[in-house]
Amino acid sequence: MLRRVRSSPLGKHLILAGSSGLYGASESIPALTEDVDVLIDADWAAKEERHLLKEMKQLGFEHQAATSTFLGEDGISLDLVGYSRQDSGDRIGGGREVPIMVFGDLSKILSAPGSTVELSTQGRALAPAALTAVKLLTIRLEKGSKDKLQGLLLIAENATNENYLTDLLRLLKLFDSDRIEDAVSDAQAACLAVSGDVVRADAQASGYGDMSQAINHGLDILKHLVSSGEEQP
Amino acid sequence: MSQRFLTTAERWRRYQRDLDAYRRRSLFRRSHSRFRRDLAILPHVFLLPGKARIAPLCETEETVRLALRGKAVWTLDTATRIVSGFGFLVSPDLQGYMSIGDLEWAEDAGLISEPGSSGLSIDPLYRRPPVLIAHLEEDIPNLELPSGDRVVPWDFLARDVMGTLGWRPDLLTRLEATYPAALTAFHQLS
Repeated sequence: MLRRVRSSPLGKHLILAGSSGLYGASESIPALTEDVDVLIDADWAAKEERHLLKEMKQLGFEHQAATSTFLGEDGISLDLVGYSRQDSGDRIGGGREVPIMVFGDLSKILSAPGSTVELSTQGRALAPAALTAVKLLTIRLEKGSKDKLQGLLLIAENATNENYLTDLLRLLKLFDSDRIEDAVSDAQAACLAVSGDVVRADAQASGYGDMSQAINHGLDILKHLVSSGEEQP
Repeated sequence: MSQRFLTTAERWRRYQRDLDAYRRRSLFRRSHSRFRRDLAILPHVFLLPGKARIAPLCETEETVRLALRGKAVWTLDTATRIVSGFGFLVSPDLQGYMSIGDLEWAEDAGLISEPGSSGLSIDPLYRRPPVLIAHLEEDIPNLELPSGDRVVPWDFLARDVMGTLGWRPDLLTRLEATYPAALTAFHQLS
């Protein structure tokens, strides 16, 4: 389905993100859900709403009224998540038929160079460092810890990749220190929750134990990275 | 049952609710003056799977502790009880780092039952017999007290507290007020 969307005329306007963005950033970290989040320039979507609806219909997606959700014939849902090149605030953007939530954090990250990568299978996705920053900064009560854990796993997976770490620090520095402190603190809380789960799990959960250690490793690197960033001008 | 997707307006309201909750959480964190400082602490997971073992005590807590004196490096509640005279957990357990050889020795000596690896918690929600929780690691920073007991230094205790109980600012403040000073006093005595 993703390939179909990416190779369509809409492909160049959509950026694979959310958990499904992991398809573009990691071969080992599972996306956990099959729902697909794609980022879209909400100002473009407002201007080209008729075109957007027509193309999505041709691709076999049924628009759900008053939402930014499209339901595929195979039951998979595709959510449009907004960013803007014009401002970096949170708001509802998009058009009258397809209202889209626009996130200031995403707008900031996507305005930075190198925040997206071309996929070998066509289309674009958030670059690994950008996806990590988004995951660490995501604010939502339900499932919020999942975002932090995926962020930490991405850090652990790229622990020896200097370019990735430099990019991640550069992106995090786009935000106020309060946001970064809260992000690190949230990541730590999620990490410790997993550690608690693991010690109460039985021997069958050995894979979970390995994941927990990778998360701990990711948290250590994140803390070192943020500390080093505070020392830099 | 038909699937109903949240409208964008509903999502927006939910996001605003989440933002409010995050603001409150952030304010709560910052109400503790130590928040920024503690962010630099790297949590050490004392109950690390594969490394931690739990064994019910067959003798009194004091007997087991004295028998393992010089062998174990005590941490968490046990270390704070030894160093400052009072602990922070209700469950009368022992928590320490030691070698697998010393753990086996304690079992052979009849001090503990057979160690297991599941059901680990230092703050159980149910009453259980006292246990020894051993983290099988020998290369742990430690200080030897005049009594011969070995305990983790303050910075490592903070890492263990963080990695085992999460961020507990009140507890860390209380421990910081007593543990390092008591260690210094022991050092001056010796």
